[in-house]
Amino acid sequence: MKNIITSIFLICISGIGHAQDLSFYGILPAFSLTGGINQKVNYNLFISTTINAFEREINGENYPASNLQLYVQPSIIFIYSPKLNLAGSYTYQRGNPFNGNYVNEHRLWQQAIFSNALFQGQLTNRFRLEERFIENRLNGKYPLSTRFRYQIGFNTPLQGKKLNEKEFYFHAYNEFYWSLTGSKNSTYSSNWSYAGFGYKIGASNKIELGYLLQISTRNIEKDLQYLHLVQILWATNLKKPAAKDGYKHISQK
Amino acid sequence: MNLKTISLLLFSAFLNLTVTAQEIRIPQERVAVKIKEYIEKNYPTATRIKYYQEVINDTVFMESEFKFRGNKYAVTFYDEALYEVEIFLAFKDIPTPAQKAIKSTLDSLFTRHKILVCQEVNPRTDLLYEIRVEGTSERSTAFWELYFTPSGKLVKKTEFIVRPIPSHF
Repeated sequence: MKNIITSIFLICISGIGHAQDLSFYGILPAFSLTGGINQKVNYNLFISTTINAFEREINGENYPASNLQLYVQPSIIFIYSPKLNLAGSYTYQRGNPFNGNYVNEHRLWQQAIFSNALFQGQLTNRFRLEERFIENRLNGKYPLSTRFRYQIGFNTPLQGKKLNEKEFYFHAYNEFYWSLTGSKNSTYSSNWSYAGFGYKIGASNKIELGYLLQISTRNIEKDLQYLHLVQILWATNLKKPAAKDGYKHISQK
Repeated sequence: MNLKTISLLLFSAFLNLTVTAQEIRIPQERVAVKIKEYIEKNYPTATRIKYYQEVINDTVFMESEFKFRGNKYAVTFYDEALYEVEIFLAFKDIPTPAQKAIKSTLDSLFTRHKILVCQEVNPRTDLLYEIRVEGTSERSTAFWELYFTPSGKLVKKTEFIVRPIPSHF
């Protein structure tokens, strides 16, 4: 027993000695616009930016407050059934968008999202395969790397079984990122955890405020970067029923 | 506009968030005794009982949802009197003659269809079958709610909108 305790202590000590984990704090404003092309096909435009809000000095190195990322994601969603949606996208991402150290990324992805009722809410399972073309600033090339993401999420209205106008809801998820091919620091490369509360302003609009923790491996030694973010989302859904009761029209036979 | 003014505006906006809920969950203690007694008497082995207050066009309804004998029930009351009973069931559990008539109507309405949900509405009084389908006709696909009589005659057809499952990032 004494040996086990000593071993654990040594592991902890060695961990502290080598850990170069970094923590940053910021905000993530995001905007989402959804609309219908027809009853089965919808479009979505999702735009966000990630801001490191505080300058930090860690181990003698300065990390200035800056905009870390610009993310533009238009996608097409196919409602296979109310419980299964398929989607595809071309996404543009730019790291350090407003300084000379920027990195462009062009990304294609395909996803399936399943939804099941759980308690009064909705449990979602999302599977996404990404083909990433990340700019190499040294040679100007965009080598291909692939990544797989799995997200388990839960959202529930807080004032009844349906989310009506002027009501609050809760939303949480955890997403696992696995880098499959191409340049990578580790296979299990990132993990995002989120929990937030939203408010349905009207038939088409929702606002959501929550805490998002983005953890990612930042080098091949598998040192981690923790990004603690306050996420503010404005979501607009133009695909709304014409009638208040949720139905488009009624025809008697 | 200074920071103090902005803070005051935000605070007053927060206070003005009036809840105009069309449906809210009600704790058992606030449900009328008559309604609870009706559920206990008519569905003695009901489990997972939940109560909701639903407001439709300024009319207040009380709805009870529960599981009874393996099926999900939704029983609605108006002014403490029974208003509507809905029982979720599988399409195969609908009596065969009605099932055949419904199937034939769906075949005539749509070139392709998939049944999503089936319900019996008011089984003890004016029985109707409520069927939710995804139907394709003239190259377009939509989601429909259809009501049939016990003989399988279509009495009402309503299109409903399905929004995509929320998915950001």
